[in-house]
Amino acid sequence: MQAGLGGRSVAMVGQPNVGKTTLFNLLCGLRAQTANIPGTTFEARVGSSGDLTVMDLPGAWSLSLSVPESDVVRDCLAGDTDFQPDVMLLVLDASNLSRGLHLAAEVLAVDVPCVVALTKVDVARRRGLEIDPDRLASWLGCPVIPTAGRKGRGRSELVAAIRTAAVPTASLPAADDPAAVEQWANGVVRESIPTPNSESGGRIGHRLDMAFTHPVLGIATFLLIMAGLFWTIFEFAGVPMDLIEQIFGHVGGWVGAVLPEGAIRDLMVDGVVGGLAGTVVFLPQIILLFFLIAILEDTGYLARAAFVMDRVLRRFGLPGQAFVPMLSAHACAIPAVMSARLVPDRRDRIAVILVAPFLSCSARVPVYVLLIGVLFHDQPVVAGLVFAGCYALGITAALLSSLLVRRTLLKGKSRPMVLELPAYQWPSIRTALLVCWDRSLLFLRKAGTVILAMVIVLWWLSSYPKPPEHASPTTIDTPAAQVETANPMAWSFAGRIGRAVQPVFEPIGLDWKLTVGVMTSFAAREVFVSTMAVLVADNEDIDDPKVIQRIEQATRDDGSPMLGRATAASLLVFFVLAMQCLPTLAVTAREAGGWKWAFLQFGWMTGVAWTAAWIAYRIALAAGWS
Amino acid sequence: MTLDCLETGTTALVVATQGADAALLRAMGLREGAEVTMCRAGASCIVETGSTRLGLARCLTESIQVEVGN
Repeated sequence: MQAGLGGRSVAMVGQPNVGKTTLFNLLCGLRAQTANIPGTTFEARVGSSGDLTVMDLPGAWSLSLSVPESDVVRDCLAGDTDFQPDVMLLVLDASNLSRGLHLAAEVLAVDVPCVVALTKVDVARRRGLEIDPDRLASWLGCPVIPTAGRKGRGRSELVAAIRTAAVPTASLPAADDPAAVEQWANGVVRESIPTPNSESGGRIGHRLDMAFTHPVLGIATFLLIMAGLFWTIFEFAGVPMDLIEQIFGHVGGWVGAVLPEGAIRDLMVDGVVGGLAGTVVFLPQIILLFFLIAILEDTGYLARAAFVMDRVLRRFGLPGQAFVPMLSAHACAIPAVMSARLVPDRRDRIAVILVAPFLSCSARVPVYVLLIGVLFHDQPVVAGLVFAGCYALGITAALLSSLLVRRTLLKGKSRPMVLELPAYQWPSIRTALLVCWDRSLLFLRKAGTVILAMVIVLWWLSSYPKPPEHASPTTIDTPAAQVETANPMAWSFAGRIGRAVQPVFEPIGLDWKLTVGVMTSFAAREVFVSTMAVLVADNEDIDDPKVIQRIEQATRDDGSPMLGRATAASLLVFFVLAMQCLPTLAVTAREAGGWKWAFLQFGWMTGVAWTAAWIAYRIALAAGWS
Repeated sequence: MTLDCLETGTTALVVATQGADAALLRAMGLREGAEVTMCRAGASCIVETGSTRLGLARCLTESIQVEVGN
């Protein structure tokens, strides 16, 4: 990838937590997107600033390390990727200059024009470190531009320097001689910071760390903050989600009124508009979750939370950073899978993506309510405990699956915990909003393509063929056939598939109607309740208590209860553990790097769900439940 | 002694950084000759070197030789 005619392509290089993202946002703002670094499988933010194309390369501690981040930065600077930078923008943290200079010695040795951006100048000043940019520039052999990304300072100076950048001319130590680099770095710091002040100014940060990383207080604080995060998501995502459904409802109504009756209208209204609505409705949760995570990350708290959770999650083969996706999955698996990007190691990241959908998302709640209502109708305390038990079962399955997958398919040594705990700071709302914007675009691109196509296919399978118009229940002999002709869904391909695969579900106590419900709920779990409402009550208004009552009292073809207590227990366990969400599979394939991971996730979760449901069914029958 | 033996609040000098992750630890600031302070001791500990605060697993702190000054 090269910049346009007359433009320059710029590679941003720096260590983690030096303020690279803030600087990138200062340069590119909304004119940016996440994309693969051309010629690699690594993703980076790429944006434009005037005629400059800017690539924010992954944070790397050193170019000489054998880790993916260092490899990709080294390859990019060496011109071994399809993105060949005309200029390197080396980002150095003014408050931690000495550490950054070791990377600088490696980067400046590359034969590419370079500009140095000095970030966190205000933080350094508060610590008594006043850096002289001219002296530093003479040591590094290239322009040094002080910036304050949050305050928007330094952008025009930086752009001007990039346009005229040249290959560094300074005399540098050999990068593979640590002692020489150390001596050189000490000299640069001594000369560039003429009047160092010993005030550290970090006492408040130290006290906060002692609280946030305390074995007991730290966990309590973590739980409190996470409870607040999810309360915020549930409290504030509901209104825009309802609004999105209403808007799509109106659009569907309008399209339905404009188009003549027929297959095209059904496709547009129920397939395209309905499919888009069912996917875009997740957007408010995604926006809120990523906004709050960005805020927490910017304050510095997220690294402390990862430190605390590492002790717990490491036992199951997961790093501390996995807590964000694991918790997010309780709202919705889609943003959870997307947030797994916080996990630095690839094997750890894929393990998190694979097991996150085990955790009970909000779409499972209507199914839990229906089935727990059948099981413990007049025992509210027991019902509450079973409800909590569903969440516990999901967590247990996720952690044990993670342990298994890390010891088999994703076998290999985990990176031991090594976390930088960045200085606490006030979060940047602008940065958080730009993160939301990026995540939302990424999701909508997916929603508008793969997910929409899959939802349309599933709609088609659930809607066609239509039952013949001349057939009526009274002319049909068997009760099953009567239900089939009375309900288009039962007549559809999905319904027929449900009947065909019913023998697979027979051992866990499901008849053909429940099997059809399970099959159609693959688009989204909550569809199960409405499918059952249509199948047994011929009314899809699931808010009507009489409809729920009819589902609970429905009978099988042989007259026995359709949803007996043993079947309800089995079905409940199945829904806790099964992968019944098509959009999540599509996002898994994208984030894990291939459909094989999505198929594995589907196969493993379905297998675990079926086995656990069979065990539950057998135990329930042995206990005398019908 | 190794870094994991330091008590909370103690400062020492890094004498040697060893093991498979030595290069990463050096890049993060735990180089020979650097001053390091134990902020929270334990199986997972927090240390400070220069302006950098790091959370480290015990297997890493065991691989860093330090010397406490007088």
